[in-house]
Amino acid sequence: MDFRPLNDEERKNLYEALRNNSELGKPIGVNPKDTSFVAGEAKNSEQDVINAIRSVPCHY
Amino acid sequence: MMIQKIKLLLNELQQLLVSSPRQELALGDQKEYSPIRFVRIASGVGQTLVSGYMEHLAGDRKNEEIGWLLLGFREKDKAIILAAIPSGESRDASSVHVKFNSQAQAIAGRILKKREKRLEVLGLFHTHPGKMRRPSSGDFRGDIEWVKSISGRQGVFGIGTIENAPEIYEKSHVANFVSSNAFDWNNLRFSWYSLLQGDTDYKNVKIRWTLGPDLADFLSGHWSILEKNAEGIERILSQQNGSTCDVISYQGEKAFCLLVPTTYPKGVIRAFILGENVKYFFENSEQQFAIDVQENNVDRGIYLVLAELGKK
Repeated sequence: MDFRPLNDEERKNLYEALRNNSELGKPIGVNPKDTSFVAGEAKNSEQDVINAIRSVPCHY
Repeated sequence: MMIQKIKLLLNELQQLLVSSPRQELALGDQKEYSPIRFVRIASGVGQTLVSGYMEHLAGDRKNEEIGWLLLGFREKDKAIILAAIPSGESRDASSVHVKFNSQAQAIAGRILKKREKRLEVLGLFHTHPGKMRRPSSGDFRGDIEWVKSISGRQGVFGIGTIENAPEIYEKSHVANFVSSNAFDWNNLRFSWYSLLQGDTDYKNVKIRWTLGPDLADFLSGHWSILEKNAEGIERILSQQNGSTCDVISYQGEKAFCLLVPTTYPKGVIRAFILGENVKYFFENSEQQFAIDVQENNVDRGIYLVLAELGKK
């Protein structure tokens, strides 16, 4: 498996995607200043939502 | 002093014993809730339901039931519906039932919850093929159990019906209230109810409009990609600690971005799901890499990358 360092154009595209995402207030584990990775934390309230979604019964 | 304290404790105990089931439910929750007095529907959500129902009726599966999961804010005595998540093409449906594709909806729920922390599941909207404007007895059997997992132990339920044949209906360009709990859009009726744990039947719930988006709208047009990859995405999200997913714009194209942090070597894997293809990247504190993995099942691809990283 090849791990190829990104060229300038590829790096620009990746940064742009991550930065836009962050500037829209929807950062996906990204530090908006430098696009480095920021770990998120698991939330109980998220799990409550997922459990409620998974348990939706059949409707008739 | 001691006697006074005992009296106070006895009073509190008495209040707990004589309180109604509704009060007891509220006490059990983190927030205090009263029964829902009215529901506000964001204009964007109304538009999603109306246009989605109309598109459904124009499609090949028009004789089947269809539905949307509803998320929003649950406040003390009202609910504000701010997102409608579709039941998906992979829903299990017929003319008499609909079972949502909960796997794809769960991922949509995770993304929405990450974007807006206050969102909660409020209930759902589904259609009936005839003119039965109320939820059925079969709906009740499932919903009365399901509402236990919803904030305030109370859900909001919408029913869509076709009232008249389109050709005999005077066309309108706006929704019209026909009662405090229902509105019409041309020949379609949208009726709304609530159900609280312990209720013996659904209750009509007043509806009001409010200006606002459908927060799940960013998924429209990308739902088939989500459904196709839902199993793989969910496998990674549930098995890889700290992993997360969102929709981003990559070179002008919408992509589901799955992000998996790694410890040894320290870094992060990013997988961009673009239509049929998945692109993989790895980033450490010093450099970014494009990874050559010919694997379009995102979970398999991520695990191949993790295995490769393990050798380094």
